[in-house]
Formats: sequence, C-alpha cells, structure tokens
Amino acid sequence: MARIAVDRVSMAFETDNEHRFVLKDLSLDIADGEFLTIVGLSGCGKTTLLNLIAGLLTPTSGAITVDGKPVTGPGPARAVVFQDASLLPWRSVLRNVELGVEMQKRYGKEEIRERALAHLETVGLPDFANAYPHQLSGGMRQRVNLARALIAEPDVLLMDEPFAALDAHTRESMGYELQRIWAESRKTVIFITHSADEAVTLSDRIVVMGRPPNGIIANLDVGLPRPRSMEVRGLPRFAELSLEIRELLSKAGARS
Amino acid sequence: MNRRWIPRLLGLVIPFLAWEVASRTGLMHPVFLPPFSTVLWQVVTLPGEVWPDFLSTGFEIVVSLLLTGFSGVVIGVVLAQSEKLDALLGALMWFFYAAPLVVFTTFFIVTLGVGPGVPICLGIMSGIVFVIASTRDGVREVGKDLVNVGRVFGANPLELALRIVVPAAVPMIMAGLRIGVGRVLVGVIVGEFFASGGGLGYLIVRYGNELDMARVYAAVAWIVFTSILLNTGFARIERSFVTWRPV
Repeated sequence: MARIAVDRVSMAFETDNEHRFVLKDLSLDIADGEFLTIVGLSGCGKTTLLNLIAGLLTPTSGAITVDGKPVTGPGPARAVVFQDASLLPWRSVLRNVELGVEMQKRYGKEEIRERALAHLETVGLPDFANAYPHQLSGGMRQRVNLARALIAEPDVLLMDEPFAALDAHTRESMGYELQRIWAESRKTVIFITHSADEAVTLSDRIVVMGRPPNGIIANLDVGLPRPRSMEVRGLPRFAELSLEIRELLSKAGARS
Repeated sequence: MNRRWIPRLLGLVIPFLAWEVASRTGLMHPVFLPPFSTVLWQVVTLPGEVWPDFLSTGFEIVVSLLLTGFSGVVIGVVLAQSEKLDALLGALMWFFYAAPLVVFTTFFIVTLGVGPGVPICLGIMSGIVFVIASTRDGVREVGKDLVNVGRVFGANPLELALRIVVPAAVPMIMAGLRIGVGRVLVGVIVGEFFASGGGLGYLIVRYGNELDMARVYAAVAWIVFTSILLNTGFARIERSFVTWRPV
C-alpha cells in the first residue's frame, strides 16, 4: 500500500524557446488504498501529472514522493495502464502479460508463466493466452493492458483513460470489473478520465482540473456505498455529483 | 497453378532458342556467343570443375552478409539515438553510398592484400548503408508509447533495445536487409574481379582473358542463381518474422 504526495509540482514544456507551464505548483495527497480519479478537459495536464507520478517525466520544480521516497524514475511499485493498450504486437497475449514482471528478475520463467495465466483469468481472458493483439477487440486489449500492470504487483495503479476508446456498454462493464479487482487487491489507484459518470461510478474521491496551469479546481468526496453496480447511477448523490463535475468542466472550458 | 506458366516458359525458351540458332548459323561468332546448349552444359559441369571457387565465394557471401546484418543493425540503432551523431556519420554514410564501389578496391588491396578480405569488405560496404538507414528509420518510428511501456516495467537501456525497440523495428530492418543482400552479392563479386585468387568473380575475369566465353556465361548464371536464391530466401525469412500485424 502506498501513500502518494505531490508537493508543489510544476511542469513546463519548451516550445519555441519559451516555457509553457502545464502544471504550476500543484499539490495533491492520495491515501493508502484510495481510488482517486482525475477529471479534466483535454490538455489540462492530467496525463502529464500521471506521467510525473509514474516517473516517465521529471518535474521542472517540486517533488513527488511515494511512501516518503522521492520519485526519480519508473519503479516496480507503480504500474501504468496505458491509454492506448500499447501491447507488443509480436508477442502473444500471454507473453505480453509476462512483460509486466519479466524484467524485475523477481520470479523464474515457470512462475512468471503461472502468474500470467492467473492474471489472464482475473481479467476474464483465460482462453486467449495464445492469441495475438491484432486478433483481439479493443476491450480485450485493455484487459491485457490491465493484466500486464497487475502482474507487476504494484502498490499503485496509474490508469490513463484506459477505457476511453471503448464503446459505452463495454466501458461501463469494464468499470465494474475494475472495481471488483480493486476491491480484492486494495491498491492505490489514480484513474484519469474525462467522463463525469465514470469518475463518480469508480472513485472514492474526484479531483477536477481546469485549464493549464490552473491545476486542481475542485476536490470532491464521492461517499457512495460500495460495492457499486449499475443501480448507483439512479441515486440522487450520483446525479448531483455528476452534474457538479459537468458544470465545473464547462465553466473551465468557457474561460478560454 | 495458374496459366501464366505458359507465357513465362515461352519467355525463356524463345530467347534461348534464338541464341542457339544465332550461334549455330554463325550469325553471332561462336567464340563470343557459344551455343546455348554448350553454355548449359558448362553450367552443369562448372561446380564439379572448380568447386573450391564456389566454396570461397559462398564463404565470402556468408561472412559478408553476417557482418553487414549485425553491424548494420547495431550502427542503425546507435544512430537513431542521437540526431547529432546521425548528422556526423550520415555524411560519411552517403559518401559510401554515392561513391562507386570499385574505387575502394585499391585501398583494400593495399591494406588487406589479395585474398577473401577484399570481397568481404566490398560486400559489407555495398550493403551496409541500406541496413543502417532502414534500421535507423525503423527504430525512430517506434512509438513513444511502446518505449514508455518498457520503461514503466523496468527495462534497462539494453533490455529496452533488445525486447522493445529492435523487435518493433524488425519489419523495417528486414526490408533493409533484403535490399542489402543483393548489394552484398554484387560487392563480393566485384571484389573478386579485382583482388582475390579465387571465387566466381575471379573465374569470370580469368575465363574472359582466355576467351572461354561458355564458362564466363556459366559463372554468370551461377551468380544469378545465387542472387535469386538469396532474394527469395530473405523474402521468406521476412515473412516469417512478420507474422504479426501492427495493431
């Protein structure tokens, strides 16, 4: 389990010799085992924030710590579920899942294989171990993407709009399944989306980001009972929160 | 089977028949153009006659190909890492590409002496540019997402290259190799023309000097066979490597 602290982090990208700040003095704390969702419009810096926590980017200033240890690069405690499934097309599904753990030199070949099969079971794809990514649907690829992250046994799961490219029905059922997997493992999850409904359905807490470099414009506790199923969408609290997020987003969008 | 084999067969038979007739009737001087049947007989008997030359050409081609493939891929991967390095070495590379091969023979004869070293080096120099260029471009095109996948799951730079970047660039690398193979073959034969004591290229020059044209054509035919064999072989390897399609 891991507690994440983002402390006054700024991130600037160089464009035509000028610094353009995507994030400015952003601070955020995430508790052990918390499911936090970041909602924001395209270009608000949410993916940048996730990549900073993953260690794929280095902040211009400020610091990020996981359990008190500063993040200096990618590490085995943090796994990413990528927006585009980004599976290796020349590897079978099973070998793609194995990639998540094989470079940590933690287990032997046999053990890795067993674990990969078990994780394919978890994400509901036990029969597709020998298939290749191009033979899978978008939803199935995202399941493999998730299995690859889970097999690394991370304390933190960083999910960058993993269901954005899926059709509405698949997207919703993947959400409930993610909730089930999360409930079993209690990992700390940071989930990015631009869907207000998806955020409310999944999260303990929602952070809304405005236009860069405004950063966080709202911090909302969801407070809906778990486990959540489709019925949660009928609750007044769901509608209220979803509306609030939509209003925040449209206000942020209108300010341009 | 489709019906294209009939015109295809005729396309071969007619010129060979015309060749036979032209030579037999004296329309073409039989010393310069011996009858097709004579040449064909030489094609069959040549390997038995001069098998050491076949072996040395084969050896030179294999060594040249292995070195071209290995060093071409390594250099290509390195060049892809840095624009500056690429600019620095790129000019040199295109110099090799643009310069006629033959100009380097003198240099290699002086440094390596007459022997298999010269054709091997000329082979590498002729083919490597294609492997380097396509590897470099292939590696550059590997998506940032795939590289990030490798980084997130703990790949060190070597693992990143071997497990993610090079495999992802395999289609491009194979395309470069396939073009390079033909060039390597030409380089080896040209090298043998000028600076080796044996091999098919050397034989062509020797038989040519002796005006033994039937054997010259037979040696040329064997070079063509080798070229076809290498090309189809590589096309097959290429296909077997690329059974997957990009997602």
